[in-house]
Amino acid sequence: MKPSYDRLDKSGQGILVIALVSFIALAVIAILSVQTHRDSQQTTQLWINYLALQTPAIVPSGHVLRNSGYAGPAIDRRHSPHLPVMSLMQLADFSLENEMAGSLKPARGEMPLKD
Amino acid sequence: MFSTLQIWAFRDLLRRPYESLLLGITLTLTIAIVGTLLLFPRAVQDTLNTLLKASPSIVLRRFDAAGFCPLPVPASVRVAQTVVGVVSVRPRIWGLVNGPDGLLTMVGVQKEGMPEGLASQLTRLPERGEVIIGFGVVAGQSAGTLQLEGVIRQNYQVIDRLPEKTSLFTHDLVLMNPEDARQLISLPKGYASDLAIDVFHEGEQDAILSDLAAAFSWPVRCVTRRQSQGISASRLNRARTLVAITVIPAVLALCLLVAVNTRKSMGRQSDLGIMKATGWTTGDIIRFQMYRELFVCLPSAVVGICLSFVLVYGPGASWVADFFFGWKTIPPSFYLETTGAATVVLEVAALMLVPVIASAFLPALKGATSDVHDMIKGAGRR
Repeated sequence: MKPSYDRLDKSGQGILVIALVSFIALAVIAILSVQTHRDSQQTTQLWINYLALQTPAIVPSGHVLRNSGYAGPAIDRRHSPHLPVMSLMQLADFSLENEMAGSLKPARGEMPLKD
Repeated sequence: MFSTLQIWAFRDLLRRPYESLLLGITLTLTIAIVGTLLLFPRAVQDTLNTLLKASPSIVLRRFDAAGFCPLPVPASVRVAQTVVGVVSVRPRIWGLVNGPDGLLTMVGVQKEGMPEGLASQLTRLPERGEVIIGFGVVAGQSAGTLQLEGVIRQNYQVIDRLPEKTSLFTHDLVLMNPEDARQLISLPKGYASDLAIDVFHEGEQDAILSDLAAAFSWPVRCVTRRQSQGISASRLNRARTLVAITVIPAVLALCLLVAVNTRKSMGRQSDLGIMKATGWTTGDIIRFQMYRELFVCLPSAVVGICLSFVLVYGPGASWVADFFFGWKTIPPSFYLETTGAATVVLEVAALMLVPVIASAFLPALKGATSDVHDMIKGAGRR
């Protein structure tokens, strides 16, 4: 005779099983959350601080994007192919004047700041 | 251990075990996919922000009509130090050079200022003709020499590798003697590529830009850490847009799932009618339905989110390297910011679970106002 699923004792065991599965999954999440890779994080930050570099390689195509925050636009390539190059996004809105962050913009009538 | 109502609810699930199992698997996989897609950009952003906290406050570069140009070290450092708010000024010698597998970031390093903790990780700093490389520079090989091409092409002896656990930053780094570095990128002696400037307080980054620019007798371009973070964030936002597009099929699948679940639940009106006829109150039925759905949805959500966590934050998640970075080596794990991850988990849970559970309540709510006889009789018309 085919065994019936309609048994209440099996239901209790079933709930126990799914509770156990959920608990294990929660434990995995907790372990991954608690384990914050402190050692590697601190060592990495020490290297960044020592080398004083910026944008880390974790950004896709990190080879080109590294330090793009510092880099200039296409003029880099004209001047020296070995200095960092600007990303396409920054190339799009490049103007020499805009690149002079914090410096004078004579075209807009700005004057040197005096203390 | 469990209440009678809970056991009855699970027993009801076991009446159609394969159907319940299939619903659970579908929910688990949908949550895992959506969770991974939402967690990944969050993990990248959190990791970036964590790492960028250690970067210099401002980077200052000199430029002329032809573009960026090297700046004289002693004069530049002296000028920068006169600006109020500047705590330290470090000249940097670095550039992008061609390596065997593509562009590499080359940095000239000196022993001065090197923390003890880092010095102990290396055998020694590179002398002339020697380099220390990151793990991604020559992947999977114990290379003895490395050919770099800048202004000149030259072979260097590899004396050490940077620690693999720092690969998030040092993946494509080549450390070399400052003299070699100058020679490679044609930097005159006494000149540096740019200046790394630290300020005392985060808020001073933007405040002293104009003072810095005014202090130098040549045009300079300053980029702050905050701007750099902004650039990274804008790039990630574009990636997030792509993620949002890929989430659409998952949401459509969820809609289908909710529709099927609603239809299935409505088809159980006769069952609920019989329950009411045997003395179950509306409250009992609602609790019964809630337990019934939770027994499927909760484990599915927890396991699905767990899968997402393992895929994104788990150690050795090589798929990240393959699909997104093009790395041949396994990257270190991302850093997890609990608040950011919790937000994503709540988003996923709300997006996936609320509609499914709500769909199960419809028949119970409908049953609350229906006549028992009609509910039982209605089964015949279905």
